[in-house]
Amino acid sequence: MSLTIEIEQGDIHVTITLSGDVDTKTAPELLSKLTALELHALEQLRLDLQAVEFVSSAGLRAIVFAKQKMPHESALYLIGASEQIVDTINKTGLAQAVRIVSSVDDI
Amino acid sequence: MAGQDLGSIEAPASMENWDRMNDFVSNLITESVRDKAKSYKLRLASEELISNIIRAAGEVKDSENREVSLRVAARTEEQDGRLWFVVETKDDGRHFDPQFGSRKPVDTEQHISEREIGGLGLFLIEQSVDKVSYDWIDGYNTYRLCLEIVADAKQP
Repeated sequence: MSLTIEIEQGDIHVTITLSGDVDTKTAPELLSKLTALELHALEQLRLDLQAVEFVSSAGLRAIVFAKQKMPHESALYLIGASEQIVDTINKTGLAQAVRIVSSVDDI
Repeated sequence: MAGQDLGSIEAPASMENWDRMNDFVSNLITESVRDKAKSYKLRLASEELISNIIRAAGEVKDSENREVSLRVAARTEEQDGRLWFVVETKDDGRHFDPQFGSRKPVDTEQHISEREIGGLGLFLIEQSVDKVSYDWIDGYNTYRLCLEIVADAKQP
């Protein structure tokens, strides 16, 4: 399955809206988009996962990469992740590094 | 629902065949596994396993200039009154024992700034299925993933 990536720049945050699967084949594209951002200076990154059906370890590595590049006090939000994706994030201990919210209204 | 052979696919272990391999397994999972959470876990474990094999095969191609073949098969098995969905893979890449059950675990408590990227795939395989095994048989890496599923007919 493919992945579409839309990026929206806000005042203090960047929103990346994903649609499809973030897997071994598509994660490099996400990684490339993340690398192009000035993560070291980003206060807040929002990943909208409402239209994402599947995230494998390749996708998780991209998320880890982003958080590691961001300032220590920054926030990385995962918006609307499915129950299965949240379960995977919890299992791997990555929930400590991100903020999981149901919708953008919760930010 | 008794056990049944759901089919197999064999092709060179390369990214060109990644979609075919994963689609083969995920379609069978969708058809056979009613429970959404179990379906996702099986798909995740299978994707991680196939991706690892293909990645390793790429290294063999680069260093030994030979193509690795990969066979992926799926079946349901009935054991002790329980029904299992089983994914089996067989490849002739380099001998690699993932040491399921005895490998150094991923430190899920470690701070994100210190997290290493490696090992997540194998960790997710172990965490996603009920039983996982590895054997080196006659020059083939052989993996078997098993997840217990509910033995009722899937609604059309």
